[in-house]
Amino acid sequence: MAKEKSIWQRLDYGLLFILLLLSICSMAAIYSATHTNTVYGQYYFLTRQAIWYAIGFVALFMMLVIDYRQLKHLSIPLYLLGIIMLVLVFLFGEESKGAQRWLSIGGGFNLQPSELMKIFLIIALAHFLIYEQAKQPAPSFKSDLLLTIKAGLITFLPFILILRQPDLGTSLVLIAVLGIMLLVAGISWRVILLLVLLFTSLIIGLIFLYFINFDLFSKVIAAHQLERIYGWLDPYASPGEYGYQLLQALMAIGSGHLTGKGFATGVQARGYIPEVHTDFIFAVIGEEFGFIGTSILIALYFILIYRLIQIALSCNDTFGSYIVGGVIGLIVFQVFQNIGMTIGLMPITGLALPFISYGGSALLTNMMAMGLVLNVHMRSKSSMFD
Amino acid sequence: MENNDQQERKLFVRLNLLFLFTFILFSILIFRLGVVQIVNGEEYITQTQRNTQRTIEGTAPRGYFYDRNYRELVTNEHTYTVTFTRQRELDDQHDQIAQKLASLIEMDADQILAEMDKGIYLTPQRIKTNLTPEEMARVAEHLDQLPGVDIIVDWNRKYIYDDLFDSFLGSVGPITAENSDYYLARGYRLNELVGRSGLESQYEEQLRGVPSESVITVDRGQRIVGQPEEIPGRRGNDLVLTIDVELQQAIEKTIEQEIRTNPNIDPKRPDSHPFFVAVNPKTGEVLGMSNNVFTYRVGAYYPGSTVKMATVLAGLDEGVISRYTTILDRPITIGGQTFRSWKALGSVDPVRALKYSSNIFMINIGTKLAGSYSLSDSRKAQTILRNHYAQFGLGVPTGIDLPGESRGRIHDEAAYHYPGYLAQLTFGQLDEYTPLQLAQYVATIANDGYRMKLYLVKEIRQGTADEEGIGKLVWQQEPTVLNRVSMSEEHLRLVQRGMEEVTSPGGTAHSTFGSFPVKVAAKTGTAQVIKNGEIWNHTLLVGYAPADDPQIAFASLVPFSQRGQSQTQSAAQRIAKEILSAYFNQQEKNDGLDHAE
Repeated sequence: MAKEKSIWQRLDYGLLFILLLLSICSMAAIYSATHTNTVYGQYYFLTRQAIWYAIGFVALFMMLVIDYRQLKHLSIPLYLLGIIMLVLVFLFGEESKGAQRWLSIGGGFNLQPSELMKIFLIIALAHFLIYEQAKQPAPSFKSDLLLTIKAGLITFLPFILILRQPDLGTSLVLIAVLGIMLLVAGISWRVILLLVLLFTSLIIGLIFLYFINFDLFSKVIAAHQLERIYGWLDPYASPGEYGYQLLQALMAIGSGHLTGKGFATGVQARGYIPEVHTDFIFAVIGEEFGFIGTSILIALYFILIYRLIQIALSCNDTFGSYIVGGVIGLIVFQVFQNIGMTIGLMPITGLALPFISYGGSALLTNMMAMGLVLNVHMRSKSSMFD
Repeated sequence: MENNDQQERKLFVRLNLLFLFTFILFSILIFRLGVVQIVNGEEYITQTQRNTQRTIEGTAPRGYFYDRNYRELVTNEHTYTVTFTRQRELDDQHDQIAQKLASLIEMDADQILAEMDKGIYLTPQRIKTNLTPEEMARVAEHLDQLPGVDIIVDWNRKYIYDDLFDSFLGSVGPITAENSDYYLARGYRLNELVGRSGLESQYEEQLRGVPSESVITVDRGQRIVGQPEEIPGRRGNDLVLTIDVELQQAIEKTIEQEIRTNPNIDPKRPDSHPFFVAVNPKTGEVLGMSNNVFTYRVGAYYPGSTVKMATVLAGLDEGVISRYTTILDRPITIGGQTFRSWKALGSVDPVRALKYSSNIFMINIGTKLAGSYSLSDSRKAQTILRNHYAQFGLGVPTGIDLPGESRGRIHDEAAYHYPGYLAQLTFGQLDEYTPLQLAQYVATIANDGYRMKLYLVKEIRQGTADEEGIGKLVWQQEPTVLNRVSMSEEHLRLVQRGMEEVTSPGGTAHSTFGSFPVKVAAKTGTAQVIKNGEIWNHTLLVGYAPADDPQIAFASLVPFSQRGQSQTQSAAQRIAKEILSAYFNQQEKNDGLDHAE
């Protein structure tokens, strides 16, 4: 056996550096978004985000302790734990802002099981996929279809529980994670084509239903969901909150122009978008740092993804690769959905911008996901020289 | 193992595909951001500004008025005004706000409410101006409980010499409903104060200041975000007037005294108060005038014998008389009407006709102009006379820079075409002129026939920032010749000599100006008017001094100052002497000072 490198030597400092840069962006944007807050004071949200980042890094390093390969044995219990917590939320959860997402765990702390579920699902799906693929060394269209349906069922259970909270954003993240993991797992193109066709016809079917039988349509899509669609498609004509938010976000980002208005000088995002430090934090960045700032941020995400892909590629363990694939799905979907909704590319859903938005639970999940990736990286490196 | 390789190869392909997929998604984001931020950026910037910026305009101090020696006449003083700005959010709170405000200022809640409801949305409406310091303090203390209510600084006119010259300075007031379109089209706000009359109105564009602005950024709840951007205002341009404060004071004091002491003058009738106008004959500058708008507008009075210089010059110019023409002054009858001079004057030539004020000599010019055949229709002769009078400014605008100048009353209607009226026209008992026109007329004679445009504003200067000292010159009124009369210099000299004779021994104003230290050239006048069935006289005196180098030309007119015939010194002469004394005393003093320096 080759010389065992210490845990510190096997860390991916490139990835950690990117996370550090993102944390700086996050704290700058949050300070800017909240420094005029008269209720909590200038530094309240900044301080809290800094504390969350500290906790996040601790969680990240804690994820490195056990070898990720051991997680195979824990995948089913973790998945079940997640489901049980979601059921508990469904039964006893704290209600806040019209949704039931939180579980009080005593001592004034609240847990958001849907966030943990993302990690548990990635582990569960990764384990499930390697297990199934080991059983079926020569997959056929039929076996891949069966695999897809089974994986779909695993995802569907937490999906429906989270959707009922209601939390459309997070439940869609699970779908994205499933999709990316199936892609990475190399299921047959014909299955992928079939899924794409199914998805497309579902959308087309809904559009037809909207025009032909609105009564039936409104049973499938709730009124407040439809309002999001209206607000997205024509924010100027739509008087609702979603159209308003999109319009104000567009104005904030657009008015940033090329170079932005300067740090902590923007007023549009801060003054006109409620709770801008959470889901709409990108509007603050767009307004104050302009196109240059937003491009740099997206480039930062892109480098992060590039790094994750490299880790997935260099890992000679499919379980590890699938986990990293799931994490990539998690990050890419959230980034695209969040930024997309602020610039009118996507309908508005309540999703945080990974690593930037204010909020502990989402940050903690993303940091834990990064911890998983680092774990994979650490262990696969050493195994290469076994 | 092969299977494993295949598996790994597949993973490699799929992960690269995932990377490509991510790249495409992020490219879409960048592309869309390019559209939003670069392509549409400008538009969003203007939208945001509309969204978030409110401009609160302050009030602008108006320009000052100075006299010809740069002594302050009108400045500004700041006062506090409580305003209310209508906002949709406050629409249902008007009652409470009015009640609260009523407890703080001396004003009924009902009145306050009425003023509040008059306002325009998002424009401060004045509720009460000129707050007392106590009211100011009380409101300021409770502003947090009075949404929409604010205290602003207003600029009030401060008149250094109280009501001196105020008829011409004019007044300032709010924009009225009738002329709001006019002012709105010129970028005014409806709550601005504008010149309503006199010079304030005439020079509104110059006097209007640039209001200070504070641009504030507000959020959705109309709460102020960040620091307001202050754009300082600027005082309007200052006007340097042609008047001399000391002369003006002398004029007003003398006239007030006359009103007080002359039992024939009704103090309540400004159109029959004494008038006096002093101008610089060489430039047309008005040096001072009776503080009474009837001096130049609405009012018009018979000039009486003061018109005779123009009549003589018309006769000379038309060639119907010469400097040697002599006639016998005795009563004559024209069209069944008998005319006479104030006494039979015997043989008169043009100079003596002026010295003794012969009506008959004038009538003679009139009839000669009419021609012996057309006595029954005197229209042509009247037209010729009026054309000559107009050259001196009689019956035409003087060009004064004040709004609404009167051109006098010209009685050229058909009813007045009879010869008797021609006779009356020649000695000033038909057409009526303003005192200002009379002053321009006599100034034109003094200025050797050059009629100067009369003016009150000689310079416009930039309002200075520190409120001290005189600002930069913006514009200067150059003396303007309106016309040169058609009479020859020789004829004008003749008439000037006649006017000098008036104050010489035997002349009609000798008793007044015989011993005056400066030689005055003048012409007296007495115009008969019927008031309440009685014959009254306007007394007049026009002239200039010093006779050889005129510095001041003047017209003095006291309506209804004598009853019937009277040979005492006329009120007009008394006033003129008083004012001229004051003027020349002051000149002497100034000269003394100049030499001392």
